[in-house]
Amino acid sequence: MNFIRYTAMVLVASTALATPLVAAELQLGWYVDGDEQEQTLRTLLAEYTGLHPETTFNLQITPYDGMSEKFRQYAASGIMPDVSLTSSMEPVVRPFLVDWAEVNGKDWINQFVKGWADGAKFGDKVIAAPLDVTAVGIFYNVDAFAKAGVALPQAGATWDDVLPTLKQVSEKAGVRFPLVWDVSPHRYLTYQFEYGNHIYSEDAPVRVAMDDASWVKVLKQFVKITEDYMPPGLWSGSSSDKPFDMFVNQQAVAYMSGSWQIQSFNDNASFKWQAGPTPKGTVSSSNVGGNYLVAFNTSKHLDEAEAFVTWITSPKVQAEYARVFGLLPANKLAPDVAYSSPDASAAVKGFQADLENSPRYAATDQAWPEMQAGVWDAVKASVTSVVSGQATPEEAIAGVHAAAEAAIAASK
Amino acid sequence: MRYLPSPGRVVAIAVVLILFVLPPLWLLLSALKPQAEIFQWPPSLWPEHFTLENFQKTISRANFSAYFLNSAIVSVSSALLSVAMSVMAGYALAKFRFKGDTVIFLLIMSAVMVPLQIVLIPVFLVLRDLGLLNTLWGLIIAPAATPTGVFLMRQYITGIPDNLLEAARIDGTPEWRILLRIIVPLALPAIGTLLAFNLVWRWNDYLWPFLIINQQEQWTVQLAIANSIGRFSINWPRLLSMTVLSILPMLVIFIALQKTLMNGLMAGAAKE
Amino acid sequence: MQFSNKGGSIARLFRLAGRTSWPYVLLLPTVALLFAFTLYPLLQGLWMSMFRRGLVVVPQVPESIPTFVGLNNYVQLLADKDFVTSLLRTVLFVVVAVPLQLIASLSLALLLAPQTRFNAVARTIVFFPSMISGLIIGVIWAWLFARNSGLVNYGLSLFGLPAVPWLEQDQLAQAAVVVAWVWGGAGFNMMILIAGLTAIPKDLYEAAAVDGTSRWRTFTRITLPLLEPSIVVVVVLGVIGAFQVYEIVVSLTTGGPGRATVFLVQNIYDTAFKRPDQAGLAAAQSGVLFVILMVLTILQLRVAKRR
Repeated sequence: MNFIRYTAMVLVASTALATPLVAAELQLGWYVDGDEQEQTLRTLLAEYTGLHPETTFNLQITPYDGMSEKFRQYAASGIMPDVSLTSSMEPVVRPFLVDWAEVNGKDWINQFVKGWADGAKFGDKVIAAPLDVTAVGIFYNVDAFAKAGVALPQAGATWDDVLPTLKQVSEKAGVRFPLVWDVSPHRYLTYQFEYGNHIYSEDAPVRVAMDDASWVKVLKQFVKITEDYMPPGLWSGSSSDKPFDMFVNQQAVAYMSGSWQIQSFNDNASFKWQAGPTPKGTVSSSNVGGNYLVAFNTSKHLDEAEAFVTWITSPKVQAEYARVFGLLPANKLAPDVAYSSPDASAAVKGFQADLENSPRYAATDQAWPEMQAGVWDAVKASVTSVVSGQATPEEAIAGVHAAAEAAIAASK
Repeated sequence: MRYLPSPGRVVAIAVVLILFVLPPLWLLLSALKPQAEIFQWPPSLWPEHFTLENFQKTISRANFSAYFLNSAIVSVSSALLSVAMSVMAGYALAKFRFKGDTVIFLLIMSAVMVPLQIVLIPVFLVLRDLGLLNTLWGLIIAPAATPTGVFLMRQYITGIPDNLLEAARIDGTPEWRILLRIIVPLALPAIGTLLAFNLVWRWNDYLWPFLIINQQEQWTVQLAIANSIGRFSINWPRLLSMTVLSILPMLVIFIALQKTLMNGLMAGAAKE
Repeated sequence: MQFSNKGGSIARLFRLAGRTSWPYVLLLPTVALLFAFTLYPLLQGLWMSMFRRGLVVVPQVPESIPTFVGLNNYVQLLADKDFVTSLLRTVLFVVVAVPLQLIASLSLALLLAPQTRFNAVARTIVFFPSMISGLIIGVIWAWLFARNSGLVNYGLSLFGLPAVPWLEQDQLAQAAVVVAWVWGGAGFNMMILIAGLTAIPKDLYEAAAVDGTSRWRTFTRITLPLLEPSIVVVVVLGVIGAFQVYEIVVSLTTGGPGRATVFLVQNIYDTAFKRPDQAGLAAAQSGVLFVILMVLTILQLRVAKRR
């Protein structure tokens, strides 16, 4: 009996070993923010190859600005990688994306941060896998506050409270500017969110939900802030001043940007900084962003590609991914992340809370695919045209409204 | 041969040098500053903490020498190919009257009248169909036909006296000999200049490498520089140090070619 | 030189046939490569301009599927405010920048043509901007002109002058683009003119000196006319290049303030990517640009030939 059992085990074992391991080299399209990120990525990929020896990777790094052009080339030529990192899914490439609802079931997408996960849905399909999320928020130069002898803003403070404080600190501590703000429609939109304004309806069917009068009022407020507290001309649309570099070089007391800067500040800032609390308007709101992973249905190694993406978006791996890249995990089920420094951990926790506590429309607005059809440009132009004196606030907001309507009309 | 009067000359040269020396000097000096100092206020030209770490970091990158090797191979090969074609085409347009000569000239010039970016996708498809994607050959051949080069050579060769060519033809010299033994030597200043231009153009190409190359081992220097521009911030130390390093070979080539030019011109002057 | 003199009438016939087809042989490589990589795509682009379609045609994206509209795109352009303003703005740019370019590079060429060591070094320095890409040129000048952290304003502040919003005022920003563009092309054009200057026979100058001709007269009667082929190159290439100014603007002002420095090529881009079905309209704009440049080039060459 023992002998037969033993032989059986050996036979079973040897059959398993004899199963041919089909080698699959996955082409990965990726963009990185620096050499360290690329190294970290390669280490992570090596880890996966260690677990699944038949899957190797061919990493194709592209500058972020070149990604849309690359997607167009894929769609036109039929030559695509197996998996790609992306921040939005262009219309021309959507037909080629793997539907994750089919691969992993309808409920799989629900384990991710809702705002970002909604952006991956296209009708009934789920065309992307959320990889990481980012949150918009403010950073303070703690050393400057200490030097000025002013207390840092507390949670629940409004813009009306905080702005004069920033000015006080800049004068007393000798810092050039009270505030710098990323010149990005995504960051500006957060300000509108904080006064209850949003572009699209929260529920289907999508329609434009702008209260133009309220938008104009808030736009005027924002333009006044750029005049009184920010470097002159920062929002003129042609400024070559770089908010990030100004904050890191201690030329600004506060910097409105987002969670992706945590790692850079850790590496480059020679002063004590703190993330948040972000001042609020009538409500407290952040804005979600991040990255997705998409797999292409033209891939010759579809199984391996799907397995890899499912692995990297699973809770445990998400925690590791977030830790090494200094980002927020997209998967809500990821265990708590121990970042490289207590400052970073505190900052991340703050941002995650901000995202949780944001109103619903902060997530739904950009989840609508219509947002990708020129609405962002219109939002940015609304501010730059008013600051540079080329349009009145009323005209500017009318432009945004029109662009939002046009996007809906175009998608019909 | 002095073309302008002396006192005005000195002032003019001083202004020119300030205008043209300042930016490259500032580029070089900024590359020698640590990251924190690059954007400090008030800005300073001279580095406070002189450092070579930016260059060290750039050079120790994984594929650094590969980038320069790729760029060098592509630039030199493409430039030689391009100059050869431009001399031939320029000579044909300058010294021959044949059916369709104006049409062909305008056809060649029309190639620079539409920005490449708008026809990027059709170009990409042509590259795919010819099997040139992901090869350095693609980088060498695709941009090799330069209408600017043809135009330059045409204008210059027009100035070569016809009687030299007539005499050679009457003697029964084969055409290829006329090209090599008469035209080329007399056009040497323009050829040298064109060679320098082509080397610079191919070295600075970004669009073609972006279209054709996907593997990091085949990257050219320009692709590597473009990757210093990240999604949220620019890696200034890397951008600056790589730009400085990337200019060095062209500087060397330009200086070397100027020497050849001078010798060629000296020979030309002596012949007069 | 050894001249060949072989053969009788048949060989001579061959040689004659060879001579007639020789120009075509010489032009073949250039035309073949240009056709494959530029002209054929260009024709496709012009064909695209007669449709309403996306840049890339994907069957599942209905807006991208081509629908024939004939010359409708061109008609639409006449009423397109963005297109007309960017076109006029570009024309103004060309009219201002190209003559400036010519004057600058001509002065530099006259200054630095004599073969001295110092001049060789100076020439290399002046050629530096041509050694870097348009993007980096824009980055350098964006840095110099930055309102709050730029060297130019810092220099002004040392003299007690207030900071000038170089890049935030419409006219100043446009002037900044002109400055960066002229600076970027000065070295290239200077070298072309120097090559032309050195081709002028020295004995002409010697004769003029013997005659006691004034410097200015020598310049206008001898130098300029004989330099004409090179000047034609600078102007023709300058016009073609100025009409397509784009890379410098992207990194210098990104089209701002507002849309004050959005020139034609950027408008083409914006149109193509704004909505999924505007690629035909963008191609039509490229078609207009092409026709303008073709007409201008033909005119310039005609004028040059007549002299």
